[in-house]
Amino acid sequence: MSLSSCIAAIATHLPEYVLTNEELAREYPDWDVDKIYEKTGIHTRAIVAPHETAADLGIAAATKLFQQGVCSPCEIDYLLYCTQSPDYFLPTTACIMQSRLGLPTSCGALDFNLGCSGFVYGLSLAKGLIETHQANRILLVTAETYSRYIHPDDRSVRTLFSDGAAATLITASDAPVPEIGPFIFGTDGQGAKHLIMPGGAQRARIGTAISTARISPSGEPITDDYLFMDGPEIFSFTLTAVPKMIHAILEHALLTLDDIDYIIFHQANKFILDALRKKLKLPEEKYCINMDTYGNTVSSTIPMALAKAKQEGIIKSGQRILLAGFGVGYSWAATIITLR
Amino acid sequence: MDTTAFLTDLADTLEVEASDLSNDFVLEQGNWNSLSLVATMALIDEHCDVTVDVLALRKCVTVGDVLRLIE
Repeated sequence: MSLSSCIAAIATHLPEYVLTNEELAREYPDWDVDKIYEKTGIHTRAIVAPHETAADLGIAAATKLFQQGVCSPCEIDYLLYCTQSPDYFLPTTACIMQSRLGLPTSCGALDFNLGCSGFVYGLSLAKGLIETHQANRILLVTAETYSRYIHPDDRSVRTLFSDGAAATLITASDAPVPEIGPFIFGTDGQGAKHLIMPGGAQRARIGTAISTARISPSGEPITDDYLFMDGPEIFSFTLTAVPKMIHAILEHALLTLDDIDYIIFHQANKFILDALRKKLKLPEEKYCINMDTYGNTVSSTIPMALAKAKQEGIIKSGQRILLAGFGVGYSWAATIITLR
Repeated sequence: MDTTAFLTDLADTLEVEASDLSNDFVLEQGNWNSLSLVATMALIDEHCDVTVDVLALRKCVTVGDVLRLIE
């Protein structure tokens, strides 16, 4: 029997501590509150507590999802965990989450390391598992704590990123038409150096001689022990890759922009989103900007925006939504879903 | 490209008066940093529909250098 798959539910979680523009302006006296908002579209960002990890945020989001009553932990037969902030190098964080969430031991579980394209990749993996009869109820958890990687003086990055998590339930569906897909993917490792956490893994371990202090092209103090982002290069990549990806997914789906009810891009920052909207000539009413109280939560921006738009009635059941993630890697992916 | 419109927007980005922007205007006399560099890339994309090379834009010293880059 031919199977389809669908997004059955989404729950999100943000850590408690909120970093405001007012606090940033106090730390950086030559910046003012209005200017920070004007440049980023962000009022506040959520920052993980010292004792918490991304997995804790993911567990909290998954717990909220189960509390919605759509499914119980014992019904999950596969856990996909997307993070670049694992609890350990090993074991796999998804294995620890299986136990903490009370998922069955018959459950498959794996981590995958992607950033801003991770949610769309997760949907693709889940669809593949369901439609090849390997799983029926998949829990996709996206969670990040980039704040841990950011140098406290690197204000250009610190203003953008927020910690957070989303849990998405993807289930088998008997719908006559696909509710997830098709997909378009893209990868260009030449861009790896422009958004990177250089130290800590095997190429440059923390505290080794290779970890040296230097100044970023933007004039910010950095070392290999902290996240490095070349904003102009990321912007250039986005303006080049994303419009092509949008045209490609529409062509692949035999649709035009008029057939799409709503578009959710990875919420990188307002500046990038505005530039993309202008370049693609997208109408404002179809276009999502949802980051004033979140900031950029990396792999969770798309499910967070999706959940909020549905909750607020901006998008409705049966509508066709285009999702597009892009960033660190460089890695990008897009899909079209039909909302339940 | 409408050069006058572009220079008006560029002046706004650099936080200077449009009348100040001659070809010899040194970018660093205005608000020229990583954010305004990104903003300038966005302007160039909007006005000329081209994505400029980041390194080439970083090497620009004057407004004239920017205009030559997008000619």
